[in-house]
Amino acid sequence: MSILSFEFLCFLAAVFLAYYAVPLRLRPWVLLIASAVFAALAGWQTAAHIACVSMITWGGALELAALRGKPRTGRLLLALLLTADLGTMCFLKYYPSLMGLNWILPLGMSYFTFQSAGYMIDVFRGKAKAEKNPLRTLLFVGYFLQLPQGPISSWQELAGQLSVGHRLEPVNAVSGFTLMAWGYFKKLVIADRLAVTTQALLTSESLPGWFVLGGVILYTIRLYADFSGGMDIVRGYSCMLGITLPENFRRPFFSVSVAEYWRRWHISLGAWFRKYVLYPMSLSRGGAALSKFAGRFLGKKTARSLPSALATLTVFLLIGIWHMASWNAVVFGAYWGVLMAASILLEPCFKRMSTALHLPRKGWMTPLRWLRTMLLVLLSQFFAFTPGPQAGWALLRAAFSDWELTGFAERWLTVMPTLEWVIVGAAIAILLLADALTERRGDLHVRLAKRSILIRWPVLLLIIIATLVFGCYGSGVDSSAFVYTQF
Amino acid sequence: MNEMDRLLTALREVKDDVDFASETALIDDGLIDSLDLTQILLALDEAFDIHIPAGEIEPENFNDVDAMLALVHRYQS
Amino acid sequence: MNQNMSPGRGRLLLAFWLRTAIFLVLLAAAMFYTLHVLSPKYDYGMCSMDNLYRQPDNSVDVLVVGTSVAYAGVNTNVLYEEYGIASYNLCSAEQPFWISYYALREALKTQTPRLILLDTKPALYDRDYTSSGRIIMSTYGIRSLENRIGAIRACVESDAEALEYLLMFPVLHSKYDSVTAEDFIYPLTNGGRGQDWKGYIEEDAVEFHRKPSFTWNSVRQNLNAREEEYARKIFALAQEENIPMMLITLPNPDYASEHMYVNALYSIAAEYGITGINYNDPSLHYGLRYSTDFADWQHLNVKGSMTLSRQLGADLMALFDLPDRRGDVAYESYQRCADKWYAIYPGFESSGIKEVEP
Repeated sequence: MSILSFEFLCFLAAVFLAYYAVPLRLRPWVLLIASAVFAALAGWQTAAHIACVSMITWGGALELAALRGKPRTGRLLLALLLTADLGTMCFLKYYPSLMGLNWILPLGMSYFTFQSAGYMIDVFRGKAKAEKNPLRTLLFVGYFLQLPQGPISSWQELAGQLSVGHRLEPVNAVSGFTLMAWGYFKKLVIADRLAVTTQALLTSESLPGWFVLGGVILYTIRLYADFSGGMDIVRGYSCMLGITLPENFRRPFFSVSVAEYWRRWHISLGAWFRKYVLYPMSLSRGGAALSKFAGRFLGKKTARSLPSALATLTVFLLIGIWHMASWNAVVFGAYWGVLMAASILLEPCFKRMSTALHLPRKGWMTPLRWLRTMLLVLLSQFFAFTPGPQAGWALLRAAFSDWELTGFAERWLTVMPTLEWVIVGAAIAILLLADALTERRGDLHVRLAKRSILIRWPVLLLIIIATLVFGCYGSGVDSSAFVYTQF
Repeated sequence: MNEMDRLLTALREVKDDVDFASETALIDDGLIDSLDLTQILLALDEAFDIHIPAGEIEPENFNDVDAMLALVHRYQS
Repeated sequence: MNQNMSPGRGRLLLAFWLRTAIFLVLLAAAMFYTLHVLSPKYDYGMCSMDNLYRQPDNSVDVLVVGTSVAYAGVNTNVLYEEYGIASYNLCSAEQPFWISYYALREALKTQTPRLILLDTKPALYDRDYTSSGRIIMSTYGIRSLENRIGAIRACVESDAEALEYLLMFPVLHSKYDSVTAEDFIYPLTNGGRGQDWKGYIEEDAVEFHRKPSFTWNSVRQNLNAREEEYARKIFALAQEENIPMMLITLPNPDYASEHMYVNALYSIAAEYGITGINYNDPSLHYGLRYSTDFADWQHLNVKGSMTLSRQLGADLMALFDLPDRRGDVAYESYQRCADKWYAIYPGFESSGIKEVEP
């Protein structure tokens, strides 16, 4: 059941009504049944995989809790469980694509696998209590709204919310609904409309540089609208049920440094890797030893940041590979890893340089830093959607060659007619405005929910009708599925 | 030098532009980031000759110096 | 719900659900109007069904159901002006029998005609399903859910496609690029003809054709199975509702290739005791001139429609007991429609037929 389908909307309406119709203590059951139905409709592979993972997680967590007194055995068991959990995910992700096979993968497997792994690690660390009720674990792993694209939540922030019935809070219902409508707008009006430009870029004919560059910029906007739109739908609807899911995007194109960008883009993935890979690697005994050893040759600060730099490189390589099993992903991961590691190691150097040159941290430097960050992000996108590193390189070279401006308008009009460009342009402008307002004043959907009916009803009606009229859906329109669902 | 001073010295070594003594939302307000945290942990390990595991990196433990000191005490015993 | 709910909270929730209900009503209204703006308002599409609802209940005496040859050939203005017959063309371009069936069912909810004329043209159609979106969307004139769902499902092969047409937005929303100012007017203007319109569409062109040469025999060729299925349903419906039905085959230059299918339909109709008039019959002389009376190879033009309708009116008055509605105040809209039309097209002299007694 695609999130964009009419059936899914009916499903959501039914679940919403059922949730608030039943008594408070039965409400978690509604979520459980809804999740079971959703997983079953997604295919037996999904349902079976979720059931298995949650069984292993439930049993494993209880065992880990029992072994708190015996850390060595506990660590062994944890290693075994993680190998089973993450190993299965890796196998299913990479084996078929490397062998050229066409397996149907469980929906959103990467997300709930990470989520369950995080829970088990937290139990081992004593940060979370092992759950005795297998149904609660099942709901945590298989909560249907996070299946397609995440976000990845921690046990501490999510499990409690799911297992308790929530009272209807009108402000939450209204703000959540508004956020959902906004998500559909982003996805259908902007992202699906821009899908054609990406196709146009992948044609083999030689393309003018400005076309390539423009196309990659549009691809980046499309990716953002698509992914954050999906997240808004999921978060908005959960909010209507009184469940708060973590944010996955915090207006990433307002970042002024690459580090900030990765704190604003796909936040829950970054947080997971930080918590379970970056910190343990940086702070391991090996890391501490490395830092001491390096302290003999390098400055103290640089030596101390070496383990973090190496850990960061590792994390980004993993994030790259997590996207897909291709060399392109490795290039993508290596690019960001080297960039981030270098910025960590050279931080003290940069600080000395900017003090010497009397460069301010804020003020006029900020737009320059923003531009630098955006260019670095743009560069990485050349390897994000091309079929392979050679294609990525070719596209990158093409972006800087042949800047002859003849046929500028005609070329763009072969992709979409003028009216469509006007529509997508207006929609992107609205998106920019909304993000800018949110950046300055806080979540718009919450603020709107608190305004009077005379303001919020017209806005809501406008968003919904605009999405219904200008959205790209229905047969005859190639409404590509969410980009991030096949992970 | 008492423990709080040792703590503050170690912290200032990592980041000298933050007033650790009076801030109470170091992580929540984004005054220290993940890189700073790893460096702080390494600095604490060195200053107090302890080993704080990665699992302790949570906002509650690092939002202010009192929480950090409490964390240090937990791992000294 | 909760037993320990405070009255304040109870009021809060009640206010919420009330506001939600009102909002949903507003949303539905906005969606309805948006769909109206986007709908293809062809006079040869949804307009004829839509305008039928504006006729007073049980006022139509002769209901013509069929395709474009019927809406071009049966001149309702001539029938009214010269015979006082209150007729209405419930037709759309290429309307297959399955759409006619459901449109007829819908029409019979508010009308009890004294006669139904069924255009035989779909006997030639050889498509199992309707692939043209334009034709399927002519069902958007049907208001009742039951008959609209029936018509759309009969048109398409898969339920998924039917759902798209029923939800309307998936197939209509991309029409924003062809919306004009006129689309925002409610209700439909029926191609500028207004609400008095009785479904006749004038074809203004003149194209030279020759009378077809063929052998007037009773050789039959099987119809498309689905067209036959729905033709039978139409016949059965007329029987059930006890309404006289007659087939009508309009003249056209291409009739030689159509003859066998039309024969087959007539023999099927005979099973239900239904006969018809075939205006291609060479023995009939009613002044039709193939050289001047056709707009293209299928449709009668204005002069042709007048010629045919004069004969049709005379035949109907001879065969059936149809009331003369001229002068009846309740049928003013027919008079208005005819007056407006005759102002644009003053009466043609059809060749070779004697003047009709008023």
